[in-house]
Amino acid sequence: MDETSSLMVKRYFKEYYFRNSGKIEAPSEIEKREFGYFPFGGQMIRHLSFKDIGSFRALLFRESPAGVYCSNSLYLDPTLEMHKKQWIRAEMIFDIDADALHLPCKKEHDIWLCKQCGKKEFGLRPETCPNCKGNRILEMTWACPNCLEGTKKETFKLLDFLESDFGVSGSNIRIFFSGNAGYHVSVAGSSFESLDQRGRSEISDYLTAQGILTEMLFSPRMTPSDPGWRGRMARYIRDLPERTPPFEGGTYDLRIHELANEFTKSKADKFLTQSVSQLSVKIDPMVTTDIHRIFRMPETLNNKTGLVKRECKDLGSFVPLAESIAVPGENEKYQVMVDLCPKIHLGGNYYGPYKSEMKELPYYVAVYIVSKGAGKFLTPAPELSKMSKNLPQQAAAK
Amino acid sequence: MQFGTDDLAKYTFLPEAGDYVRTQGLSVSDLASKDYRKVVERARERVVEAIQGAKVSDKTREKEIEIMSFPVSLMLVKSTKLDHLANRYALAEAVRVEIFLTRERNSKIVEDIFRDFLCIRLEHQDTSSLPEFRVPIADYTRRAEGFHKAEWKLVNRIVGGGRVYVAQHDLVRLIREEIRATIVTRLKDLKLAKVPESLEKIVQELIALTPPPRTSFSTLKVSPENYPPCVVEALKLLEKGENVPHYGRFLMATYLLKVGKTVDDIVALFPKAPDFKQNITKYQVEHIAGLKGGHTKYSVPSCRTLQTHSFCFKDPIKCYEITSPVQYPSRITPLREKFSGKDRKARTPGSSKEQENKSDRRNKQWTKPLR
Repeated sequence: MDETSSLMVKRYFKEYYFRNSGKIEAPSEIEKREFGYFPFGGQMIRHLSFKDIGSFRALLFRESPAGVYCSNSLYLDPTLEMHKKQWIRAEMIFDIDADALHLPCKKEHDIWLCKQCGKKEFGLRPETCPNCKGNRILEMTWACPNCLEGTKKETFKLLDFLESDFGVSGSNIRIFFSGNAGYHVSVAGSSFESLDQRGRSEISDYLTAQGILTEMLFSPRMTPSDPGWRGRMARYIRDLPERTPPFEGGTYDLRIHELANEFTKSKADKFLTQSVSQLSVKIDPMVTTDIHRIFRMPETLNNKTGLVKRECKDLGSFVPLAESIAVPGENEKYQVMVDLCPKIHLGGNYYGPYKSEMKELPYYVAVYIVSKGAGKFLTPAPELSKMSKNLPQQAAAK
Repeated sequence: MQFGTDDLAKYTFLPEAGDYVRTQGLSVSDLASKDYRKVVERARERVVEAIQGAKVSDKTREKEIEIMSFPVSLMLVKSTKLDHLANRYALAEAVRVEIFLTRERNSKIVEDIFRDFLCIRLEHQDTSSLPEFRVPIADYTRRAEGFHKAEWKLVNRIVGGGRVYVAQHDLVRLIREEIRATIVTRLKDLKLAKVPESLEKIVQELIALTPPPRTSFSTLKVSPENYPPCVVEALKLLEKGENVPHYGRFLMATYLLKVGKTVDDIVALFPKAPDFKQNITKYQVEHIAGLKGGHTKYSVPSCRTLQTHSFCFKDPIKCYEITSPVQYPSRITPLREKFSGKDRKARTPGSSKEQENKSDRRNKQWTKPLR
């Protein structure tokens, strides 16, 4: 990111933290958590610890970091190196990202960039660059309202698994829009907190149906009221419309009879693959199984978009691209040179698509596009153009 | 619940069985006397059975001898000073307990052993078509993670309300390792008094009978054409300049270090990766090798972990029943081919129609009718 853009994005972040840092809650047992942050243009600083939320908020004022993170794990001494911290327990966390859903809209808004010749186009990443035949190709993903609706559906599926199968009480579950392309779910205060990495792999595999066996799942005695995967699969079979292949029978009993007595193993396997792709939850296993991760803090800004990681009190009615804008306002506009940007929907309005054009955009839209790496600020805010580039830090100190 | 001597003869590892022996006032010096000849003989037999057959037989008809011979056999094993015999014996005793618990008709005894010995609160219900015991998920996964077969995976169990539905035989299998560990701990903690001469003879006999421990090799010798398919896939993706997911990179680095490659050899494979940065890659490989950071040398991830992270490219024959890429065989053994079930027809050219029908029937009878 060029200097002007970096200063403008940092100014936006500072404005947000100046007005809103009071909203950032202290995580439970704050002194046992590891904190970390990304300064603008710098490298991740980890292994920090705060005794109270006040000293943490002071850091936000002082630094206005690009990203702020906190561990879901508790440690005896969070400031030490990882192997010396002494892990106590960790909340269970889940990350659902639009990119993992492979929705058809991806090819309309995603962009690929050839690192060899610099060619940039909308669409899915090709095997080789059509221009130079190089194969060092980067993907730049974008999340549209359709993508976020898809991740919301996945989140609802996850909630069903957590409550029905894992017996987690709704009051222990918190849901957040990640501030980019999906949702984060955290489960605190349950017996799962003591699970190690391998135990969490089992939870992850359960949700994603990784390793599920046809012969263990399907049974002639399965009924829709059964718990777990078996009941979920029975309800799926029951609710299929009539004459849906591979079944010929129209009733649940006939279908189960077919499945148990007439399907070959390979036919049953094929049906299993097809059905679990719809019933499983597309979580990121890396996030759930990693117990030494630091995770973006709620009510802080996502450096990839400038949007807030926001808690969803009512997931059904939550509108992520409107309710997570950090500093709303249509009047403060800035000129941005947009390189390549798909049609985006922010704050209730549509912008773009843009290709190599100069646009005057509301501050939050400009920050979004620049943070995605799709453009740069042309004109800095008046106070930035007059003063030194260290100004934001000096202002914070006052 | 009060356990009777019938129960203690079966579950000799329980603290109550130890209390029973103490009430009998048995001391080490007594063991040389004729009165305890049967106890000593049974203790010897327990250990010999463990060495020769990895299983201790059922002699619960003679309840007292069965209860009292257990601590004596622990003493014999401890006197050999052979750690690998301690492990072997503990496992054989654990298997014996497992057999009794599986046959146990009184579900209350099962529940009590789980509650008192393992702090697991089971729920029991015999009326529905589902397995009769329910175990909290965290208690289940903590124990089942040691099993390699996919049927133990949580996803292949019936799970509801935070509990896993488990049939009695599976429930009991889950705790074998804990019983074994308990016996190992008891052996470690045992303060050894000088054993009588008659017992010393038995100890020498047991030492002679015990085979030497297996040795392990820290570095594998594997040529590139025998790398497992997951490692080959990671190398192929890197060569094509495609993005290799985190776990693929981790696997590749740990595996290649295991087969004796150097950090520089491994870093040299990465330049075509779209996000390659020499210093970062080098730091990461050094970290994995235990040269940086916490100085922990990371081991090669298991097949199960690779499946979790969608980086398993199983060869149906050569990967049959391996649990880690380091076990990937360099050649196909006839046994592996037989049990993999792959290419059965191909191996029996001109197979008759009857054989084909059999295979077809087998293919159709894949559900478990009693489940």
